[in-house]
Amino acid sequence: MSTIVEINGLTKKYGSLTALDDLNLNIEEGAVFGFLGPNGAGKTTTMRILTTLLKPTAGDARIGGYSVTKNPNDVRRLIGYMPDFFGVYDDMKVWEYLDFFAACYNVPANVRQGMIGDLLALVDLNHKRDAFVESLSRGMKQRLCLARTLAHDPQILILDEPASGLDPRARIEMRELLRALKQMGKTIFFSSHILSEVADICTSIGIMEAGRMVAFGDLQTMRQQLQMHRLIQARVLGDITPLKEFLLHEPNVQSVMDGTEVELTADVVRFDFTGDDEALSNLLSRLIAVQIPLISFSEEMGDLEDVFMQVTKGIVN
Amino acid sequence: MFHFFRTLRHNPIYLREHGRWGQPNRFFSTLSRYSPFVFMGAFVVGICSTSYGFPLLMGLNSDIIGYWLIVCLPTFAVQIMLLGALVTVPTLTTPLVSTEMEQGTWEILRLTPQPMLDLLVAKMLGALARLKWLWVLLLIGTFLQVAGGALGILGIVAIVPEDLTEQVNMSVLLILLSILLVTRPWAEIAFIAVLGLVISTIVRSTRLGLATCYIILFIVRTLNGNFVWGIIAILVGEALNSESLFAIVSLTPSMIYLLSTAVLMLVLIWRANVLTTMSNE
Repeated sequence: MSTIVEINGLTKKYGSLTALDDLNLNIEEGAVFGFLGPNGAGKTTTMRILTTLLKPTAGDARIGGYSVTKNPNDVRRLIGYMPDFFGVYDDMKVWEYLDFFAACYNVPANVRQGMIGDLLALVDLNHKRDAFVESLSRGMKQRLCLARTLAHDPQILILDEPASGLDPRARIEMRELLRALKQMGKTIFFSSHILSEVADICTSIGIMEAGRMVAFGDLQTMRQQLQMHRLIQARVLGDITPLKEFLLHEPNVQSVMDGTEVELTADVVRFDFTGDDEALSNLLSRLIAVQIPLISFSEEMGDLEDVFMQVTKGIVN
Repeated sequence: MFHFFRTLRHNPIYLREHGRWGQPNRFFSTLSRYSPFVFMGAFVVGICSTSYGFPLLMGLNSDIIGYWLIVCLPTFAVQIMLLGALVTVPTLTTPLVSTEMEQGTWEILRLTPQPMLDLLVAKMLGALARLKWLWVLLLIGTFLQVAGGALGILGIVAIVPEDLTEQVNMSVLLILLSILLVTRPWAEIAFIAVLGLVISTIVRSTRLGLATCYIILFIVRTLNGNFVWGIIAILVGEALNSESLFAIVSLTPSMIYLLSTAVLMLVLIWRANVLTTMSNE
């Protein structure tokens, strides 16, 4: 797959404040990229530069090979953008809203009628076709806005907090919609505060803090890179004392906890392990060799929240 | 530019402002509800603003009162329509960009492949096209003014056939007057329409934009009126003859409106360029 978004040394300064500091990033075509970070991390600034709405102080970004600073019109044809604070024309009907924007993108009138039906079906708003936009719920407006971004069939969708302010049902519907767009082959670049949502649908993730990219990659790789020590949980039949004593003499084991220290059942021991997969396998073999009656032996996988908390320090610009 | 005007009737931005997709301008809708009051006010102000001119014109030659009436009555009607337009046009053009900014649709619109200057001009023309009946009445008024001017010249020729110099002088005067009468309403409307649009690209609040536009309109109309220019001409041009004085008083306001409109168009081109190139904010 080819690279569709290339960001090279992107910097944005507002006076003495550096909102974006030498950002470098490549995103493959067809990827779903989740952009994470606390408020003020520089996510929206990055997106606004990518959509040609903001001029970078230094560096450049290319979308589909076109520079956002030198060829903004070509970039605009390739992208569909949904801002964080998006507006809709409340005085229009749902179909009129899509018809108007499709006309603005020079979609011929005879194509527009069929296209509006398809887009409304995609975002499940066919039943609201003749309703006024102002009568829609926030979730529906969000889906309508997403349909609008697709009116000119862009290659890449840049969505700033597409699920913000939505109730759980609307959020799930939005997630399903993003999945459908992913299956249609669209490249999706979206920011979110909802980590579980990002973990669910993204093929790669970038975490920003204070204008810098502090972590980038797919979730699995990121977790492996970040978890220098691994958390292992073992359950035994009967008394846990022999297991604890064995582990305390192991060089790769850093701390051993049981139900008296953390919230665990009486037959479970949890310990930090600093070795690799081979060392972990050796440890398991030796435990079995000394006849410790293990029922289960597993690694606790940290979720995106753990990764996020580990790489960010809570610095806000 | 030719292509732009040729395709204007299919331009989605123009059609949107014209009312094909929804009703974009709530300020105009509100004003439209009170339009009878607007035109009653314009009628009263129209009488006041044109009445001082009648005795002055009639005083030049009491024999051609009938011809002056032919000129003055359409002028009076045009004045009323002009005042109505001057109250209405800011509500059409001042919200064009600022409302989009307020409701968060401007950036979405900016990302469409419409060139910025085309977008702004299409918006303005689309909005102004909503006053269809007013343009028709103004055109009729303008036609009557031209016809009145022509009849006036014929009248002069008939009244003073023996004095060719006088005929020429009076005819020139009437032509100047006709130019004033014909161009002034259109120049004023063009000025206020472009002023509203320029303000709209600068301010972020439509209410602030409307207030600014009406204040500027009031100041310009007060300072750029025939009465003020008459006083100025009398004060600074004692040596001028009555024809020259009359020409200055008649033509200066129109010239100032036309020049101001040209300057505002340049400002609009600059604003379009600023809005096209990526913002640094």
